[in-house]
Amino acid sequence: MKKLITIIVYAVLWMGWFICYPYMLRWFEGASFFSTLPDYAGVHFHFPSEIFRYCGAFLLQFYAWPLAGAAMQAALAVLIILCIWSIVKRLFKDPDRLFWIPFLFLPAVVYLQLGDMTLEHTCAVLAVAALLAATVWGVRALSKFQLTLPAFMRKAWLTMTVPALAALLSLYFVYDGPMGRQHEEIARLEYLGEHQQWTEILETVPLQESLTNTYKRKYVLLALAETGKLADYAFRYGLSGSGDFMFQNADGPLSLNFNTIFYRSLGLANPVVYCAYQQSLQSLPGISFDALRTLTDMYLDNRDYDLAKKYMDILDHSLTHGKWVKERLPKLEAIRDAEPLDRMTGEPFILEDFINDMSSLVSRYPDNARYADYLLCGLLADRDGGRFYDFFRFLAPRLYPDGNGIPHLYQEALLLIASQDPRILDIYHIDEEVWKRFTDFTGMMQNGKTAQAKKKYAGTYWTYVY
Amino acid sequence: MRNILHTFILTGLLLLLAGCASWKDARETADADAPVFPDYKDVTVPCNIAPMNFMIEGADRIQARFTSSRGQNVLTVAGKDGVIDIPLRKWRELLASAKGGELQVEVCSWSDEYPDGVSYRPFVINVSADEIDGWAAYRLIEPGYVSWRQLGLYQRDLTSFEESAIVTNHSNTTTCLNCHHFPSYSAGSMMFHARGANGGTIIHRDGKTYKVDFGKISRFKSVTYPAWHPEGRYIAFSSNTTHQVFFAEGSQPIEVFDTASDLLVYDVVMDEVMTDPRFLTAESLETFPAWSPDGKYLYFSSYTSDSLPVELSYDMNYDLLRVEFDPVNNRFGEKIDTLYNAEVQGGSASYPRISPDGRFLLYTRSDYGTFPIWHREADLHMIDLETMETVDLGGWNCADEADSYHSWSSDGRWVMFGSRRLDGRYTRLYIAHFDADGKPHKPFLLPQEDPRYNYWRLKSFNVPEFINAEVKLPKEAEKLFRTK
Repeated sequence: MKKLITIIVYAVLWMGWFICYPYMLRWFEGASFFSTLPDYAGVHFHFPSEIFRYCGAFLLQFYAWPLAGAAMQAALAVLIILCIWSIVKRLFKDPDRLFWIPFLFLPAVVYLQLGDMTLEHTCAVLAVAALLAATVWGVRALSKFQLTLPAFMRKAWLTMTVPALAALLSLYFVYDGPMGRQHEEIARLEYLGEHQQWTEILETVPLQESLTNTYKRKYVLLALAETGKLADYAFRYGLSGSGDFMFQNADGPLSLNFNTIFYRSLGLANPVVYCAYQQSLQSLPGISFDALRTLTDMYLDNRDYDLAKKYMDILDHSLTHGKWVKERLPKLEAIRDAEPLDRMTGEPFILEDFINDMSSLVSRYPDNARYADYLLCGLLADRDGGRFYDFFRFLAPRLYPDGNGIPHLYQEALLLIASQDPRILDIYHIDEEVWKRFTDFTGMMQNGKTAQAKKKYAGTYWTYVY
Repeated sequence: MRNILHTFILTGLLLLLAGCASWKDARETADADAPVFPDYKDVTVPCNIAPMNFMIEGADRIQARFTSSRGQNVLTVAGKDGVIDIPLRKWRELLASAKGGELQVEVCSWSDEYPDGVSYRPFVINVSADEIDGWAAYRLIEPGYVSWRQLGLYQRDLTSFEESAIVTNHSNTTTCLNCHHFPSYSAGSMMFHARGANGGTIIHRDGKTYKVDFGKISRFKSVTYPAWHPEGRYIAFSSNTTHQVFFAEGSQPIEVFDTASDLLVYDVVMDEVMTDPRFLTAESLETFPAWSPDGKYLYFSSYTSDSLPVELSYDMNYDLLRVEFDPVNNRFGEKIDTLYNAEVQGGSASYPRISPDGRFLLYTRSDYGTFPIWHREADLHMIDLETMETVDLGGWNCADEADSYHSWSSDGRWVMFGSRRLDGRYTRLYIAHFDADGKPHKPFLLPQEDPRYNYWRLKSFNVPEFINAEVKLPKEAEKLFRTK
């Protein structure tokens, strides 16, 4: 019976973790690092004070597979419970009726696990519980004393009820734990971003959440840019300034990974390296699997054999990256004698703020529609119509050579700018539909129907400006 | 049970003998140099250096035979995974027998390509009679990028593979430790900076370890590059306002530059700072101080501009200057000599370091700026101060990757420097012989117990300095910069 209850609780926790946090468990692995190389234990950790961090890092390798990660989360909790059970069994008389006592601790253990990104605390609790169990075992071997608990604590129904309630409460914590849901959702977006599943990102984030959640909005804007829809839907999804496109300053661990993905999508190797290093700081040893994988792939793409090989060798000294490294060996061999790609046009430019970076990129690569959209949408979001039009004039002959196919947001902006210089409309074609909507919008505004106009034309540049 | 015991004993004996094997002939002979890593072919090594372990990539089995040119001492070593791991005691005997001569190294390897083995053209390791200082101190840090989590100052026994931490930021991971320095190679005294909250300049001398807050005793909030006077009483510092920028594209990812830097001299006995108005002007940026071995000159890099630099400029070219110093009165002299004129000679000069005999000036030259380790074109250059002629450093430099921070051994026969030649990103340490005739010899990569360690380490070696013994900094040193 006790074994069955334990197995059921284990299975419930396992499934709970797996169903609720498949992406967060994977994220835990990405933010950790473990290696069998001598430097890892010798330089990155201080023993014995960091033994639990080391143990946690060892286990976190396996969280790359959420099913295994969930199994370990459940196993750690159940092992702690079993240690407590071992203590109870040896301390009290009639222990079979006290099997429910260890489960009183289960919700607290699970709650602890939710905030324990490194497993350090969980491993420490497990070690303490095991030590106590061993101590009690030793004491009992020397002395035959046993404690007796009151009769009401030895009721048979408690054996079933308390574990069941504890498991349910633990499940509730798992489902609704501190930072868990938000972390899981962002971790999922991060996963989709790393795998360039842009359409899935747009399908995953409801419009309302993009409007209210700045983290999610960044992924949505990135997905819009990657699918060529930024210049049509940026404001609909809540773009409210050029700072929305990426994190200018680190804003917690979730922010750093985004910037890496963002720069990778732009094909800018140096900022990817920069962000990957910053991302590594999340990891207690100062380097993370996620960063190493990013660096490896980036250097493979960049045909930098030496550095790609270095990071692949290092990753190969974890216990879980054999297949990952093997898959990349052909690509590595293909670049063995290649010259690294150090793409650069003109003078080097220094990374500053989003608008300056994009304007530098646009100046160098005027045919790149993605850079252009980022810059033009950023300027519109910053309500800088003057600079928008300056850059638009520069870019339009390349991107819209016959004056047609101009994205809706730019058409909407041109209509507003044309109020000061009507000749603009002779140069660029405005769709009839956009004209009609603009006429309707201005009419409603002039008639004092501001709220209705904004509601009807939500997501347009006009609504954003007014 | 007895069988198990026998197996253990046999395995133990095999393991003991694994390093020193009998010679096995390879079936094929290649008329080619052995593709060994690190490249130890024709290098000159000190007679007390750690074993020069090497490897052949892709080989399953490898064997090497070292033959001493003098005593005909022969050592045969076999290894797995293409790695030669030479036993320390036998290596020392071998070096002793080859001192002042050479070692001939024959190498064979077995691999998928050569299942019956292939032998390569033998190569030579020259063994100098010049010993090297026993220890080196350096910082281990990720190569660049704003912040860090784990870094520290470490030391390595150059005659073996022993490496240990001098001090790390373990107790406070936001603290940056940098600019360690020692007076006249003495491990008994040391200084370094701890940056961040509760930071300062930590000085360890005469058995005491304490923190100096320059903000309290001078107009300088903090000080940067140090040079401890040979007599031990003074430390010259530059005080730099340093900026770091990131390039979006191109092979150089980072640039570090100063918008201000001045010189000062700290008297460790009186706890006072001496300044000279000539080295405090906004238009002139003085940095990288270095004393002459007799302590009568201070060498430094200097950039002068008509306008105050506020951002990165590609024409920030630093000269090399020196000024007389009077250690008795703690005063600079009037005369300032220009040893390297960037405007005339081109480029920018950093890190002047004078040979212990005072004759040679070694420095790093890059196209511009003051942080050459991020400049692929940065190379070491040397001036003979007697003739003011340039010394040809032959093969010390790698044309395509940065060669930078350098230091002289205490006898002036060895130079240790950082180079990024292996992968363009991580700095490793190279050691080069500079013989009594002033002739530079081919440098060699600091030996590691496992040569692959050169690839596997996630840290750069930074600011290598020779020291005469192991530094024993008290544990209390870390408490000086620990935040509460």
